[in-house]
Amino acid sequence: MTLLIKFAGWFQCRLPTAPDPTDEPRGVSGYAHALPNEPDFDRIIRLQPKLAIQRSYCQPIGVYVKTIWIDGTIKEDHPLLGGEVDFLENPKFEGRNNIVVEDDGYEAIFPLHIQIKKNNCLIRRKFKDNNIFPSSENGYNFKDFNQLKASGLHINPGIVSESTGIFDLSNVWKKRKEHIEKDLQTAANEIEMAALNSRINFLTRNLKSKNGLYNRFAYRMLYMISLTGSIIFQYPEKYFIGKPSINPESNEYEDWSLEFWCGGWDADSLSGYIEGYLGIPMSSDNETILKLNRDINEKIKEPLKRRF
Amino acid sequence: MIDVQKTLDTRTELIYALNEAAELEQGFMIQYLFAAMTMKKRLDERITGKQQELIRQWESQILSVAREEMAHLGMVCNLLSAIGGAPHFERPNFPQKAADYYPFDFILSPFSQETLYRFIRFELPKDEQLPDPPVPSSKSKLFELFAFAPDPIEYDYLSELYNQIRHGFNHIKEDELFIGPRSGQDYEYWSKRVQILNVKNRENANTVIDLIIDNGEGAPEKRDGSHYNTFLKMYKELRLEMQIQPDFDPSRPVVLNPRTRIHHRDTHLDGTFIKNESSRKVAELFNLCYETSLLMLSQLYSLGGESLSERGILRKSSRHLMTMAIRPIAEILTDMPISDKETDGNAGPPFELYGKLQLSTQEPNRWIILDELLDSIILGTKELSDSNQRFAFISENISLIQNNINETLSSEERL
Repeated sequence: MTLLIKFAGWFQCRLPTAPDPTDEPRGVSGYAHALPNEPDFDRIIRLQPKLAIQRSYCQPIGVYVKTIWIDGTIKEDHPLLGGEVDFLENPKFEGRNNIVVEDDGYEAIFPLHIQIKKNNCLIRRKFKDNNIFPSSENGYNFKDFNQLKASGLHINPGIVSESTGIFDLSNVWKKRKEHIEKDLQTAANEIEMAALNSRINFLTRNLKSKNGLYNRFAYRMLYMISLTGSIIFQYPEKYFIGKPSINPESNEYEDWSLEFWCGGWDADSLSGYIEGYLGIPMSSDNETILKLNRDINEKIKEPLKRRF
Repeated sequence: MIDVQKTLDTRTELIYALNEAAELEQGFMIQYLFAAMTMKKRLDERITGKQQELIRQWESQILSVAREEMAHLGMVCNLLSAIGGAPHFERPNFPQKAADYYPFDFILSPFSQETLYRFIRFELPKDEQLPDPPVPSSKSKLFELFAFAPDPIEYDYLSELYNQIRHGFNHIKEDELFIGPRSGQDYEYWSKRVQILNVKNRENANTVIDLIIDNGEGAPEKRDGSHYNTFLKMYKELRLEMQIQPDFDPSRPVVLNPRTRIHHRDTHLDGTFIKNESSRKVAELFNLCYETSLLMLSQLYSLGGESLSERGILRKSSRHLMTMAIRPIAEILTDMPISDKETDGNAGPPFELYGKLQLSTQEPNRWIILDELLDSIILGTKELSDSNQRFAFISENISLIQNNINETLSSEERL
């Protein structure tokens, strides 16, 4: 049995861009800059709005479960639908100005630890336990790191447009710029004015050019990763469908497949779109289900006053 | 110093002139980098939000000019290589007074009107006038050190020197002049915007010289985008901002010509000794990174038997070292004290060379020496990690750079 979870939404990553160094705190020479009213860049990939820096008139940050299949059948009322999807442990795109990857578009997401949660449902799995960034400590072993790399930059305007609902980012930017220009009239203080002016200048410059950064919206980075690390899989009993499969030979949990793409990059909001699938091989535990059914039946027979 | 009234008629004279051009390009680049690294970044440094953005733009523009000077240096080394000369990365330490060494004062000074005025002079086209000089401020030590123009400039260094070099290329017999191996040159993009051109013949040499002059001063009908125009525009913007707010100071209180040594043999002028021990340690580490990057470039530009992939890793690694170590450490230094008295000001990147650059004549030894230098940088940055987290990151990245080099060398051995 397979539990297949589709997720999608906007993520944010506030990071400096070439030719700035990877740890440049505010952005200088690259196109990405921290605005006067914003904190330094931290490069963290955020799939949820907590701690994200939401710029005005930009897509709201948040990645959620969109569809669930169990053995190929869509489950319209599944408890995980709408659940929050997150990457734990403050992951970053690791390219280090191409020190650890061959080119732009191959950046690894490190560390990788996915979480999906809603109400009492919680699913977590790490890429690998004890996954260390390549260094002298692990003899510069890139074997694991390379599995977290993207496969390069792909230009897919159709897929990106359909998934995001944005078919022309330059149009979105034009409207955004109009709103920001209006806000400038009523800016509360000098710092806010400076921040708004900075965005207006950025949008104006890029909208004027055929090669403006809105063109990057159509690019995607593709990831295909097998998760083999420790798991948390909590389901309330009433939704119980089984548990993650264990390989009888190794006595370890079967690999979970995680495939997703990151793209739809909006250089003004420093956010992009992520869409993907988490595939979890499950085993239906017949003994457990039978016991659960017996327990439920017993409870139904009890007088009301004793149950409550 | 080259007497540019004399025509260049021999290979040796041309090599000497190109050596001087190389020192100028590197000297300019370093002064631009130094000024850029002194610029304020944070709102708690007594700047407004608008000024923060203005300063960021200026820093970005200066760094862009510095990258082009790097490409110019590369192209001058290609010109040298094309005629059988060796790449030239030597230069004297700062400061240097005009007429002692070069026709300009070479000073490491923080970003200011006075500094921009000097930069405009460096890049000034022959047919343009200097703008109004800055009014000396009470803070400016530049006026105490050196007198400013009205002394006439004897020649416009960039265009006049390069035109003399052009003369040499155009008048020395072409088939006798171009004897350097084609593979002994760099040719790639140093960044997405900066490409180094190859030189195989007289036509290529003229193209390179045209490009360098055009980058520097532009054409009479089109100065836009030139270094001269970039600095002129910046100078006017800064003066305007200072009219609005007279006490506006876009740079940190970095001292002039910071140094880790009290004396240097190649300059009789004083620098500012970095008395604070922690700052001095970081500054020495900076100098080590700088020297290592020059050695990498020397090795890249001098054909010593390195394979294509080895040359590729040298090119990549020197770029990585500049971006991921030299620039961050320079920024850290401009925020560190020069001494234990806060009012004495801040340190800065000294760009000191403690001796002549020595590239081994044997290829295997070059790699051994480079590895030793990288070991020292890794150790140095690791030791400083407790004082500033950025050093831990730098250390990690230098280790990865070192590993990349070793991987390349191992692959070559296997082949």
